[in-house]
Amino acid sequence: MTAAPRKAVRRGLIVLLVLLAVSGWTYLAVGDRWKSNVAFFTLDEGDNYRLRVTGSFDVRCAKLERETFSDPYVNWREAGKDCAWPRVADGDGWLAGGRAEQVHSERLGRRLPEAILYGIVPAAATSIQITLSDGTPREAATIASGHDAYRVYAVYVPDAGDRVEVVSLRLHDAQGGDLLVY
Amino acid sequence: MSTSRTRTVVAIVVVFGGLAVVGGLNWEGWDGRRPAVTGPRLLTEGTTGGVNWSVVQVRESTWGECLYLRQDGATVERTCTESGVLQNYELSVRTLRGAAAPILFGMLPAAAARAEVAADGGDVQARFRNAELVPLKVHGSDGSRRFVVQAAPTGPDWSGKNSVSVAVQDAAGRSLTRRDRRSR
Repeated sequence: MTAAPRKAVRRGLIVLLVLLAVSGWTYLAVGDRWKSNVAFFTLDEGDNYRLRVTGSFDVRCAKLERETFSDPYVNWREAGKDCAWPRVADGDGWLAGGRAEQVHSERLGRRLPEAILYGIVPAAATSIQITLSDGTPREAATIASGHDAYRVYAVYVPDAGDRVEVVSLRLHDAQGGDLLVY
Repeated sequence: MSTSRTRTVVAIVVVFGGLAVVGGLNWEGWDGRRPAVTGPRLLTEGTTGGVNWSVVQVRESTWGECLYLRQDGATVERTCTESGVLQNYELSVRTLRGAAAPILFGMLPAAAARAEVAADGGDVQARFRNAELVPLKVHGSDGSRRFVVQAAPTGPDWSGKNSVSVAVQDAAGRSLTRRDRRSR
């Protein structure tokens, strides 16, 4: 190869590497804007929450994220996550997990008496019934997670109060039967 | 290798190495790899006042072996060690959702073989006791946690209580709780 083509190849390679580096840093900086979600909530106050499925191989998590405006380098901040429920040894079901996130409005700068209940459940669970300390059962259909072993749920409760506590969590399968959880 | 080529290689390693490190640390595939609670094991389950409950032993990443009293997929009470001060052990008193009578739950020392509470939920030391002692069933075997979970003795004195003193003895009948002080 003569000197001129070799120089052209080298320049092309450098341009490619620079483009790769810029793309990588750009994705790390603002890529979370384009990540797919399974549920999205826009509050009356203008704040946004979204539920995403994360993890790898056989482990998955339902991750709740809140959009943030205060940090120029972070667009979505993790509010919490619920990962795959473990099977209970010597039992016949799962150790129930699930999360209740008190809604925080960054625009108003305070917590609101609202909550988002979310979690990841075994794939057999097509609906979930959640009861908070107010005693009212709330039924919600679960959502496909993209993984065969799990489904996820996310329920917005506008009148949850200032202190959210889940006192009962029941799973139902497609036939309406109960799945055993502890 | 010429100086300019060395600089180029170092620059590439630094830029892409940095990308790899930052990207690796932020990779969401790590999620769920280190769960806070592992190895749940059902120790016992039962019904009190028509309400089902279960006791599950778990390993928490922070606190080690813990016991959960669970009802309907929710934790009612959690304990990771014996409760009490200066060998005056205590049990938690909880009323399960939908139940009329309270339930006693708590962990005991590893040597515990027998446990008793006062029928009125008061002090168990002879000097201060106003009611008979009621024996409790101690769960757990060698190598596992000793604990109590059962309905509180019947009576009106239990309402409003969050905890109750418990007298604990080992298999030889020796008291594991603080001995009664002599009157001076």
